[in-house]
Amino acid sequence: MATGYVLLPAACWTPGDGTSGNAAPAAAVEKGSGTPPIFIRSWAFDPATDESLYTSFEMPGDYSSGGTLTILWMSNDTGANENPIWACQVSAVTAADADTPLEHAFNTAGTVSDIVNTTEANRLIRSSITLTMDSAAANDLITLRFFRDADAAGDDLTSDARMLSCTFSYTTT
Amino acid sequence: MDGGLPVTVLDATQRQAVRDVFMRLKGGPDGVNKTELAAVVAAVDDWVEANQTSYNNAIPQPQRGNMSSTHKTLVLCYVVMKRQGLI
Repeated sequence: MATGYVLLPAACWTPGDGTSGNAAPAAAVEKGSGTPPIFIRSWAFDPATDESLYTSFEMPGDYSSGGTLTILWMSNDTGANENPIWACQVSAVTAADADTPLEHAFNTAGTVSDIVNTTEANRLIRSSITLTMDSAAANDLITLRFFRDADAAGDDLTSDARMLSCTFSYTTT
Repeated sequence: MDGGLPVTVLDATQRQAVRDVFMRLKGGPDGVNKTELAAVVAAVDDWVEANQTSYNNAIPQPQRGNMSSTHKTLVLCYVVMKRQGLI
């Protein structure tokens, strides 16, 4: 057994449609100050309203168990005790399931809440969520709902939290 | 009309709305988390409540009697914002 990975950079994600309960983070391209400048896609999650992204992929054939979503993110806030709550839900659908991919409900959200870097604004932060895998199996259609639970009592960051990239990892056969 | 600023403190929902607008528009880090920000908004709201009579009395007559509460509120906001260079 080993660890398998599915890379999910910012460009892989689809925003909600903005209807009630389906708010979306702002899509952005971050520009660096160097010469030439670096440009990085990001999603800016609001500090007050829950905003969601979605992505779907085929579970690799060597999937055995488990599931972790690792998030690379940053914030321009540096206050002590300022932390967003990142959350992720999984929907797993097997070919020929009675539930179609659009009918199948997401499972329970896993969460992580890490404090921003207090040394310098916009330092890279790496956080991980242990996922509830919805009885996922190899070759299932996996859909992830990734969101910031901004209106939860424990989300104490007053600025945007900006996601740069995610990685889904799992235990292989 | 001789009313000063609006006469009641904000309720919890309104204070949350103020916090939400501030977080979206503050334009940069401030080292204040949401819990601390809630205390700031509450304190400012309470200060306004405690000082609205004093503010109203600072407005000379007959303007104090002629201006609406809304206009008195706007003048205060514009003066403070101009002093800070926001407008």
